[in-house]
Amino acid sequence: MAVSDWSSYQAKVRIPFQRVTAYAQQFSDTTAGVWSSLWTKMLPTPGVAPGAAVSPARTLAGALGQRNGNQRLTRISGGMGTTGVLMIYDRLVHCSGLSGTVLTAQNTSMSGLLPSRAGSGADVLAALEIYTAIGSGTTVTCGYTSSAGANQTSPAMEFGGSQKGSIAKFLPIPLASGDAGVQSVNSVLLATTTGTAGNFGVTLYKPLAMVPLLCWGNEPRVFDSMLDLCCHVPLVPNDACLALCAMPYQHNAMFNDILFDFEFIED
Amino acid sequence: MGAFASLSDLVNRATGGNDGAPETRWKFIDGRVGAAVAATPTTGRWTSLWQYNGQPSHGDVPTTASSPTNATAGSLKQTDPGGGRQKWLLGGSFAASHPGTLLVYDRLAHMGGLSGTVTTAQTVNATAARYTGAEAAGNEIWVEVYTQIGASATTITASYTNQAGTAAKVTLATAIGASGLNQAQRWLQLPLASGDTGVRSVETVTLAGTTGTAGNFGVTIVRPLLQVALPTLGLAAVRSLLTEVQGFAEIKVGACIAFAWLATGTTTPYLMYHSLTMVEA
Repeated sequence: MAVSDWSSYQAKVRIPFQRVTAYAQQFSDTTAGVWSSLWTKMLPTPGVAPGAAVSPARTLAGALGQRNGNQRLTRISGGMGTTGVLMIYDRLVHCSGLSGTVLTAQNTSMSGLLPSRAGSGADVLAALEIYTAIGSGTTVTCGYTSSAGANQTSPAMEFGGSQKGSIAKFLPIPLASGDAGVQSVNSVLLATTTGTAGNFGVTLYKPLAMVPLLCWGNEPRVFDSMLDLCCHVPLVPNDACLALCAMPYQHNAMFNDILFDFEFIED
Repeated sequence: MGAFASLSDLVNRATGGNDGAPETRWKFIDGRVGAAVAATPTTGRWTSLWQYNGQPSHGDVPTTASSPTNATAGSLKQTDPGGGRQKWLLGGSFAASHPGTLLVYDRLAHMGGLSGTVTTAQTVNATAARYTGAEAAGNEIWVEVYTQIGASATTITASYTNQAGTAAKVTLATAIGASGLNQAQRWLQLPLASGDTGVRSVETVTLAGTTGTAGNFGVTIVRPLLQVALPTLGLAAVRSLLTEVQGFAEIKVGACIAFAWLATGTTTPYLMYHSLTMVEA
């Protein structure tokens, strides 16, 4: 249900439907301008490499664990000890167990797992997510089923190396001409071996919000969805597995004191 | 014509009331074109992101003149407004792996297949599909290089019909070819003739001399919507048009929303991540 007017919005924000605090362990194996997934960094219980493909539950370790309800994300506050960008997203399907040394198509068995809240896959994005570091740089193509139901192959993307091969890297997958969403990523094919098997996987997701974090001495920032995020007050579907990614402003920037509050208003 | 009656009206529509149909579109851009890394940008020169891989996908190289829409590969793929309403861009969040300036624009018309070695008038015949008639004031002409042309410096002019419908106007001669002005994805604005404020169509372009390599370039008619400064690597920018002097930008029916980049360095950005929020009124 829409918020009727500005006064109603203010009233809802004053007494939010729920507030979820998220904090994560510090780490510095980061690359400027490249997403780092906080899935395995969350505290008190980090998420783990998922193994076989599955649609993660709302309360799985690594997720925010908000309670269900008709709600919208209305406020993000906090910081991560360094300048960068925070993204909160709905983690729809994930898998791991892929190898940085296998040169044949590696199947993900993701087909058919997209939850109903993602519809046909329109606007669903996909990323390669690294759980254990792989080796040197190469390129990767992915076989996927588009939101239109067509079997496609992604353009080649860079993978591995010092900037895109370390743990927690979250690397979006580009799509073939004309496509705007995915139902599943079915296979991953490395052009050459990275030299290290490591462990990586594929994550399907839908972003909810992205905020800039200019860090001055760990000073927290506050963003109101209506006033500071262009009136973008995203709906949070039931059972959404909300998770976080962060992008630093310089190589090996230390993410520390990662602490955020997320407030939701009733829709 | 739609309008927001008040801040409360905006709040209501932005949360789905009163047929606001709020929509936030996400755009991921990779630093590659096709199977290879994109051409190195030139400091202080615009780069078209039309062909850059990403999601929604990259655009294809046009051939004969056409009018791209929100259904065209390469566009943002936003939905059209319904019920006779207008769609308004409220702003967005923007992040890039390298500092620069991002331009969000409506790609009104495009074509390709022009040669960097032909020195007679080359046919363009591209007509803006939106912002027509008097609304053409504000439309711009850009030359877009799809395959690198030659390194011999020369200039280019375009013959166009201006915002008032006057034909056979000629742009000021603009440098093309040579280093920094010939690479694939290079984007060069052609200044309009004195007194003109827009363009309805472009009929021909003419090179003053050969660049030495045919390559492939074309003409794009553009309507700028939003410019975003991203001065700090890895730090996003939020442009909230609710609180800025520019105000909300209309997203026309069929708008082909695309992006261009003004580089402040010579490293190809390897990640851009943007969101644009729109609502109907």
